Amino acid sequence: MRIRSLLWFALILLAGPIHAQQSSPARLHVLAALPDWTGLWETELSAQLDSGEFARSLEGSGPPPDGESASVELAFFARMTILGEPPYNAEWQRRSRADLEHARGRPITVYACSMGFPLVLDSPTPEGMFEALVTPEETLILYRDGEVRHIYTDGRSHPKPDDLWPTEMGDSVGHWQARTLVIDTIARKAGTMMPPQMPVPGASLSAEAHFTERLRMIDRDTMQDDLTIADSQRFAHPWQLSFRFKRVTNADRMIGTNCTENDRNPVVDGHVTIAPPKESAP
Amino acid sequence: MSRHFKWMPAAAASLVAAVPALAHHSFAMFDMRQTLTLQGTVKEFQWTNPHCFVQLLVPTPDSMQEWSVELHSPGDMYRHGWRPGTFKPGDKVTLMVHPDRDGTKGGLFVSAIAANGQLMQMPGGAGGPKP
Repeated sequence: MRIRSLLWFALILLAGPIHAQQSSPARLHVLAALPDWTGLWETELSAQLDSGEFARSLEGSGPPPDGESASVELAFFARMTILGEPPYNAEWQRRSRADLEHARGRPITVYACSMGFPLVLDSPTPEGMFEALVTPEETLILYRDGEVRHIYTDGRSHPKPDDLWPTEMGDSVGHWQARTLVIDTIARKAGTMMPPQMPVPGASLSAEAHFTERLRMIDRDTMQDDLTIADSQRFAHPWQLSFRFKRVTNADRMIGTNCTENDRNPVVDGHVTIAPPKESAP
Repeated sequence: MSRHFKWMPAAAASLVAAVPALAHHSFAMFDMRQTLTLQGTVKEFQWTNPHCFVQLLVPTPDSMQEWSVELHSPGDMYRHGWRPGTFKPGDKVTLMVHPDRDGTKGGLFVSAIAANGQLMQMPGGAGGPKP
């Protein structure tokens, strides 16, 4: 009898939290009003690359005369709007152009395996492929390389300054205006957007940069993100950018990537090479 | 030159087909002016991140050479019909590659003629991304 009583007591304890996790009608009502962003998405550049559109656009140009492909890579990066020159103030315009001159001609080697925010919005490759999970409390943007954006929509504010430090993705909160997600992001790590070994450094941002986005679907297969970056330390005025994402139609699920599973591309004497295969595990 | 190694002028299509490789690293390491044809036997198909590799055994008159041929990531290849079993050990294949500039026995995959005669291309190429 005592054992039966204990079992009932344990069941009641377990049932409480389970009941609390069930969605209330009010929550379901909110959820039903939110947009359905399920599916796989990628940047327009990535879609052009995957479909061969980028390759076709270069047909007839022929390989570079010296066999170097760096010029093709630079042509590709040039299509990234986020690598354009932001509205720097005079000091940062001078410093940025000096950095660019210094970087020019630098051999391109290994890229970073994760891009961070906001570069991931303009990824030239499928590394920026993502899924968006919309809930009343939070929108999660899950990227192929494992990066995640947590955009809290439960009414919270950013953490107070003592509880906040700069990260690659920054800290994001948001709210809905009809079916548009308005995102406010701060505390993004200071520095250039691209890895330091790149000949195209990209915009240099301070840790005080403030990002505002308006993310929405503009048709069944296209999302648009209008981004404004305000950086009073480095910009003369806010920088306005716009990105589009296309629905991925030739993949049935997200397949993750990483750079450590079988990295066979070491840099030797400043150049990337192919290392022999590791011995297979028994 | 051995019949196993054939050098051909590279087409622009194959040059730009390589662009997705830059997700992990630059492809300036490959000589895009040259396309080398390798006839051999698959030793191993590594379906791994950040890049897939074909280990190809290529017979020469006096030795057997092992080549490492680099492709895109599994996620990119999967989108275009490639699977872990697309190449199997023992398959007799012909691979077209842009060779490494540093002389190592390696290169960037351009296309292949599989054991069953099927033409297979790198995703993103101008010629149509179908294996």
